[in-house]
Amino acid sequence: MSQRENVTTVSRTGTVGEGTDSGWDRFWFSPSKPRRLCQLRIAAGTLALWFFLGHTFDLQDWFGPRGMLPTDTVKSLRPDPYRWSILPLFQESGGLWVVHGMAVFSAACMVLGLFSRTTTMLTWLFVLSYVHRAPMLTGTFEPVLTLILGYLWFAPVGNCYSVDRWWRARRGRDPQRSDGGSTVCTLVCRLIQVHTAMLYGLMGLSKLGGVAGSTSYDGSWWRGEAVWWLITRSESRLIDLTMLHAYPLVVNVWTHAIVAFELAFAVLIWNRRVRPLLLTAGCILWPLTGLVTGSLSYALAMLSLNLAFARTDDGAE
Amino acid sequence: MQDPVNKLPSPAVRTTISVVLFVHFFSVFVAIYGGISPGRDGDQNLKERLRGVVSPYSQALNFETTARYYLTHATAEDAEYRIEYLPEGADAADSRQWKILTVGRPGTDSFHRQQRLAEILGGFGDTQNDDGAAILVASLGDALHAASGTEVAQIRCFRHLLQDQQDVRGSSAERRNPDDQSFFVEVYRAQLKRLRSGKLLVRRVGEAGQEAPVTGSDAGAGAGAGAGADGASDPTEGNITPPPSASEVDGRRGASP
Repeated sequence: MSQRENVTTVSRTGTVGEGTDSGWDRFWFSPSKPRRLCQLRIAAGTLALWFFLGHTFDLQDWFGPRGMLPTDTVKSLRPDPYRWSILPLFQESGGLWVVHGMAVFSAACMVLGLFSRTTTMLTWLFVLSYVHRAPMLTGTFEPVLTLILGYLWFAPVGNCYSVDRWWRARRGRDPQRSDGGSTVCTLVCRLIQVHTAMLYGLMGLSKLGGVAGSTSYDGSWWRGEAVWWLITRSESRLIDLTMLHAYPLVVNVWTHAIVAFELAFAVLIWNRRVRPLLLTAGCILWPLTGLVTGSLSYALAMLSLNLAFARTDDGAE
Repeated sequence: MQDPVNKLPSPAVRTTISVVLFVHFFSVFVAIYGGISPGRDGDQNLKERLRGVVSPYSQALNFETTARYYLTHATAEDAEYRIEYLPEGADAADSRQWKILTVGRPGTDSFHRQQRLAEILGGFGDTQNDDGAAILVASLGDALHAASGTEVAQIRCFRHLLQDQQDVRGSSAERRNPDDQSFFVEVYRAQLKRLRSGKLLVRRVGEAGQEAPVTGSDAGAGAGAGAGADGASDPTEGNITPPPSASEVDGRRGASP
């Protein structure tokens, strides 16, 4: 009897509580293989590497002892007591470069799958250090990156597509043994999925509902005009689509499609039939959003999260 | 087929993990949904208190975010901002002598960080938060001095207004050009003067074209003392054009249809 049939039988014959229990257990604890988490490791590691390399050219400009945002300035402007960072411990130029080099090396090892779990955890801690060093400079990309990395290092992410796996095979250990399913893989995957769905909900609702403290919300997402106001941000955009002024219907459809997609993703991604449609829609909408807003990293991070929902060859979802 | 139910962890472990999952996702929920409106005053208080409770966890792990996941609400704050600085000895009246603060290229994270910095300064200018602006401008002045070896005489921040569809359809060539001067509104301007102590004196230029003393600007890194401290004089007085009034700024917000 298959797993699904087994659970259905329990739900029909047992009490409602028993059915809920088995559904909850199956959702969170049934073993699954680490393959897609390993794919996510490569994607997230590449994004982290991109994040660190992006700091290379202006590391001193931002975080140096005579940079634009010294530690004291950050503390004065944003006194968040629980944001921690190791960067202030290395204020001097040399120390800062050493930490930066370690961060880049850690992310590169993560991509390659060398000491995968350790380097994934280190990469996460380094990213958090950079983020907390100047939280006011972070945007939509960094929370998504820390979301993926923060969960990923719990899982055996070096079991596939990694130097670790190659090394085990070379030393005569059976790599197939590490391919077996485990509850940790399911837990980590579900954590990423649920958090992602919550994030999509936030995106959709904040577009429609405004932001706490803001009194000037003018409903541009409701009216279907918001994409136009993204298109006209001339300093950030990577493509000029102002010719769409002649096609307001396209702007309206695009705007409503973004909101519909985000709200639908939060709820309907759990439906097996709708899931491929939503993942495909994401593959179209995110690159377009990235090009229009200039936030390529953010768009790529959201695309990477699709991997957490992809069906794997062992049938896990 | 093997029944995967048999491979589940023990009930005690599952129960413990389930409780941890609930606490975790409750914290995440409060952290990320706490910033969404609408809500009455009472609701906001509740949100803030809940956020405060979970903040050690959500801040430390960066779940709590104020990032603009809505992308735009077509308000004044959703326009773009630009910081310009004037090296010492340059003519403030000559726009070619002002240099644009540029970090990174469009599409890169560096560029977005620089944009957010400009946005923060613009926000301080809009809300008349002179203390915050003085702290930031003093740091900028120090950094620019360290990078170029030249003192900065003035720093200003512009809001880059957005083009309406009518503008692009276009009556005139100026309105079709998004970089035309008419799309820039100055929201903040300050004069900087190096004191004998090595600190920077930051003075916001008030709406009437007069210097506005910056209160509490000793706070933070390198922010100068109040106006007139250390006998500092204003080398560029008389060359400064007053920024537009608040109503003028609001009236030109790019996103109003």
